Amino acid sequence: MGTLELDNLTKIFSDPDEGEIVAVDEFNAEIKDGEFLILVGPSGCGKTTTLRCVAGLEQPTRGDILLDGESVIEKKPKARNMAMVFQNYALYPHMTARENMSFGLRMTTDLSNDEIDDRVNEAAEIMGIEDLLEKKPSELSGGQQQRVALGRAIVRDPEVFLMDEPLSNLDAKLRTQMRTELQDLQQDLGVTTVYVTHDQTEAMTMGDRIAVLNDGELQQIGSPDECYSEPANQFVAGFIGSPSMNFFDVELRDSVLMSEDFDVTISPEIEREIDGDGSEYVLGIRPEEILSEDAAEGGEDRFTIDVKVVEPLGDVTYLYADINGKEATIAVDRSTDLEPGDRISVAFPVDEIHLFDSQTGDAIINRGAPAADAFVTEDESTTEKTEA
Amino acid sequence: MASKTESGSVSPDAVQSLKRRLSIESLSLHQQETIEGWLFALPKVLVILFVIGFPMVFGVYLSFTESTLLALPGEFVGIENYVWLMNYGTWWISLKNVLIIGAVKIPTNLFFAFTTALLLREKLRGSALYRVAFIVPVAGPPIIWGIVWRLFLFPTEGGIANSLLLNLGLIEQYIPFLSSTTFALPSVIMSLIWAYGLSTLIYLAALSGLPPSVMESAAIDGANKWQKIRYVIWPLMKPTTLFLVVIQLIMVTRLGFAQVFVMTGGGPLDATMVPSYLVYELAFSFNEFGRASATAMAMLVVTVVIALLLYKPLQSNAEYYQ
Repeated sequence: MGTLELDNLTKIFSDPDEGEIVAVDEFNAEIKDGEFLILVGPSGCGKTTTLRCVAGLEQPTRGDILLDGESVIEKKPKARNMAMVFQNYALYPHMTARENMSFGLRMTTDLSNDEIDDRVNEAAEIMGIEDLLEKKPSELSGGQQQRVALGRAIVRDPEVFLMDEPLSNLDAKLRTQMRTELQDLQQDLGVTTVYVTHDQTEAMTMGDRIAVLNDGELQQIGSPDECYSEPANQFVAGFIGSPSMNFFDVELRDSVLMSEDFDVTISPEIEREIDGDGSEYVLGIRPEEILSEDAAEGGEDRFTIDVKVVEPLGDVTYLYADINGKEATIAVDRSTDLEPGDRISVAFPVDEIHLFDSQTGDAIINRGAPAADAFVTEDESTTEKTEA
Repeated sequence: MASKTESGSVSPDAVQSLKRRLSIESLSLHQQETIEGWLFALPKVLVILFVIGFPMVFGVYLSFTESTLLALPGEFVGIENYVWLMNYGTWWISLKNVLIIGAVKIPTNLFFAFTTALLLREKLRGSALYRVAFIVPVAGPPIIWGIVWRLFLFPTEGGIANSLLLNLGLIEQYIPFLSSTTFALPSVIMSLIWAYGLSTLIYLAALSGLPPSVMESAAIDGANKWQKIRYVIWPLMKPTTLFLVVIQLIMVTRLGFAQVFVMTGGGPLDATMVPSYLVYELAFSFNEFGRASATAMAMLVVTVVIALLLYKPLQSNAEYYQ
């Protein structure tokens, strides 16, 4: 079993110059046994601090961490039965791969040398590093070191894996390869895993659920698809997805969301959810949902833009243009022959738009439908703080 | 001559004409760079030749002469001075003494330095103060500390150590720390051991270079404090330790001059004689510059032998410096 609960986890650092810094602010989450949870957010959002609190490397200021219902907050790192994989691998440079992997077992168990050897060999086999066991880290490539580090984690057969950006020191190709391997490994072993990353792709592809953090506060926790299509607020909407969602300030007038360059006529369903005339919102739309050229022609709210930059990526081409004085991204088919300077018509389909409260940033409409209010407003204090 | 422009710098035209006249341009680029390199290095090379090269060569020559302060260099006598040195009991005693001093001082120095550095690394209240306290013995001139130790140990009623021990009832009569053949050398060693601040500093620097994640990894792996030191920190300090051993071994023949000079003068009965003090005594007390030079050369040979012996192990341990 490896059910991990974070209960109001709070970590405040006191800094002599800057006073108190709230790194993690009342983080609540329940991670089921065998679940793969991704902690994602920009630099300094508190994701690594959260992980370090769970590992026991930082003592939380408030709150509790429970493993299978039992608080581990008073336990030392070694007593928590968790293994951690570090960004820079943190292998012992003076030990061979075998010694690195067996160190934890030698320190914490009474296993005989033979038993330790067996377990190391087993883990090495899983990681495919049998040939590297007698080498020192300095003789291994980055990818091989990462495998040894993972091997060191699995050899201890922990309840929970904690991974702190384990792939970010690898080159792009190896990262993609290790990403799938790591997923396979996690599924095979079925060990509860908390994985910290700032990488979009890792967040979207690897985990069962994503927890999006910003400024120490949990913004949303849900499946990758939920976070993508039903973001709880403007931050999540902007953070998840690459390129980012486009945001525009709009004002409601006579069932139309109006702005400088475009209008969007809304459905009665949306109108029921929002305030009356004159109220202001932030409209969000993903680059791939914007209709352009022929597709936009039939639409009633179409408008024209001047293409500034054309960015072909191979599988898709992005256009950049100014809308309402802000740069907007539009995804078009890769076969496009558009060039910078071309004038095209575009439209925002009403059933793909997101609306966010212009003050709090909370989602009101997601993809043309009322946002599920399940997550956001549960913790009223979050909203109040943002308003202040 | 190269004409100067108004701003005072040499004009490019003038440089060109000088180069032409010196026919530098006819040389290959590589040759030109070589000449430039030597020109840049020349001032330093000259200084080094003057302050190091000349005295060294002159010292070697002196060791083959019978010289006094008034006759420098004196009459050439071949290897006579070396033959004399090999038969000179005090030289062998001084060599033995300095090896004893090194054998005690170096390990204790490393032990105290490493353990102190570990303690100073902890976030103790006032650790900055302790750091300074451990550096002070190294910061001051050794001669001053020698005098302090002499005042501390001098076997009269004024000697602090004796007064303390006597008043505390630990001894019944004064111990002649510096004037007995039994206690003199240990006393000199004592005065050398305590100045381990520099090694502490070097260990502290090395400790601060330990990757924090490796230490955290050890914590998660379940190593306790002692195991972390034994299995992770100490092995990772190996290059530093080796460096400190090598530096101290290479300087071993120079050990203790200041302390011996102010505390014992090499006595009693050569009990604290060290090679560096022997050289000084031969030259400035006995006016035997030839023999003093031969002794200094013998010290050099010992040092070179030690350095050569250490060369291999040092090379094979370079791997941790990544």
